[in-house]
Amino acid sequence: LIHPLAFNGTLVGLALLAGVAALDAMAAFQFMISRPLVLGWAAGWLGGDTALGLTLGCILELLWINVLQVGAFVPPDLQFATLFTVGGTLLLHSRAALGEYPDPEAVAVFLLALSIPLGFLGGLAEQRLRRLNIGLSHWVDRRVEARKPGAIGWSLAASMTVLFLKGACLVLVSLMTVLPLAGFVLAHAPAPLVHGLSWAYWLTLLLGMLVVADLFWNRRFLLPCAASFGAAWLLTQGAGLPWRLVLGLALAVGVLMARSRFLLRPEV
Amino acid sequence: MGFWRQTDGSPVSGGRLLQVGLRSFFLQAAWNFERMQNIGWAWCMMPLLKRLYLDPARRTQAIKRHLEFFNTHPYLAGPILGYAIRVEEKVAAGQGASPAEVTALKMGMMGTLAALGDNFFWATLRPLAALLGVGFALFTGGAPSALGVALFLVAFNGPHLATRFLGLFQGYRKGPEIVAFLRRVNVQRLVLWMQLAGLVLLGALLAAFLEFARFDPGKPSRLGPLEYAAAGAALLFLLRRKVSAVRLFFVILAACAAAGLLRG
Repeated sequence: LIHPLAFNGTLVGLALLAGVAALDAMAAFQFMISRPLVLGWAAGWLGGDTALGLTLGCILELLWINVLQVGAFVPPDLQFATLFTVGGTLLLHSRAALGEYPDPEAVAVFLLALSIPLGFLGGLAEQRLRRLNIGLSHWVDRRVEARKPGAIGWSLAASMTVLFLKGACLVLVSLMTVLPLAGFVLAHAPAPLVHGLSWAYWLTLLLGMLVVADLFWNRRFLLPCAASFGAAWLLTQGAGLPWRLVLGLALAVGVLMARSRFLLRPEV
Repeated sequence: MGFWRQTDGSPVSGGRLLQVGLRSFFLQAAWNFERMQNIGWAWCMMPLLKRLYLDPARRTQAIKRHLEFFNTHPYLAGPILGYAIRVEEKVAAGQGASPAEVTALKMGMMGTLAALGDNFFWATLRPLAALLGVGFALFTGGAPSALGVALFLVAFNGPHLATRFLGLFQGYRKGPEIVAFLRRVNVQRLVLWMQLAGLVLLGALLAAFLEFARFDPGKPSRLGPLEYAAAGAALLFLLRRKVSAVRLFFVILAACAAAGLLRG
């Protein structure tokens, strides 16, 4: 087992990032720096491997592209899941020099599987905080009645502080407790099993892209989508100039058809 | 310039509206299940309520009015804030508007704007910007590029910030006309165009993915194009039948672990 404090500074950085992300997710700004794409890159930078962090962030972004805290809906804690997966992969990967751990792709998939149930716990904590805010709202009522409206600002500050601490503590505690155990399991798992896990890495990216297809699904737009796929596929295969011209034209015709024939006509 | 530094005696100036706009970033900071965005909303209104109502008793009544239930899309709270400030200004000056009008306009606008914002920002613009970001990050050749992250943030936050601040200023300037103005914006058509752009982009990204993740003897985690095509067809079929992505991820995990063990 790795000593929980062996991860030191990176761990603190990840915890602070988690606190900021917990605020950005809904409470403040909502600039979307709490999305997996941005968090993955930032965690990668903290962990010393932006390329791996960014790739993992992209996979998680696509997988959860349609999941967001909106109104009363509280989804699993995506910020936590992202930082646990990306941060954990980088922290364990940094130990690979010792020959203890398999490739990062298998580690990432394994940690992502662990992060999902933990993310549900994060979602429950968020719900609990929102219930606590009801009490805060009643306290503000009483203070305003007593002609002390400064309580409004203080209540916002208190709520955001608790939210920041929730995000930071969840990541810190999980990485210090669950990660060493996960590392132990991975180091002692049968090699074929770990190899199988690494196949799931690319399939998860594919699943993420199909989640987007499902989100934007519209039968009227399948033709331009297919034209775009064909054009890009042939271009990546190094097709000659005539093919590129034909495909460019096909793409333009597909988009024009979508515009004139499908977009202007209401769906029956 | 006159608008920014008001000279006609009204406490509402461009600078104060900007202050309200900046405070709107914290509209959901104390979101609760009872009155939702009420505390954040009241905090946004505070700089103007303080100056509109110099009598403490009237000010307390005004603040209590704004601590009532409120919930809308955070980016589209601006038009409601602007319009509410305009009405509060009339209430404070005794120019014919009643406090009940403020509550009525908030209740009347919040549902419509919430639906509009959810459809445009959450369900369409954010996924499209993310797809664009992922495409640039992963599939532009070479190592993953942080340009994708920057592109995502700019593509999303440009319209976000414009809506937040222009909405606030227009809401104050236009007053009741802001409702008619918002009705004229054909969001549904814009959403359709963005869906089309998303699917065209996705087509290109799927082709790039097949090239990017293709089988390479040096990288044993990768599969062949036929295996990806078969898996992709099965996954899309299940997604269209409302099987959740998380459940499918665990199915993939179990299938890959089993395949790994069977192959030995």
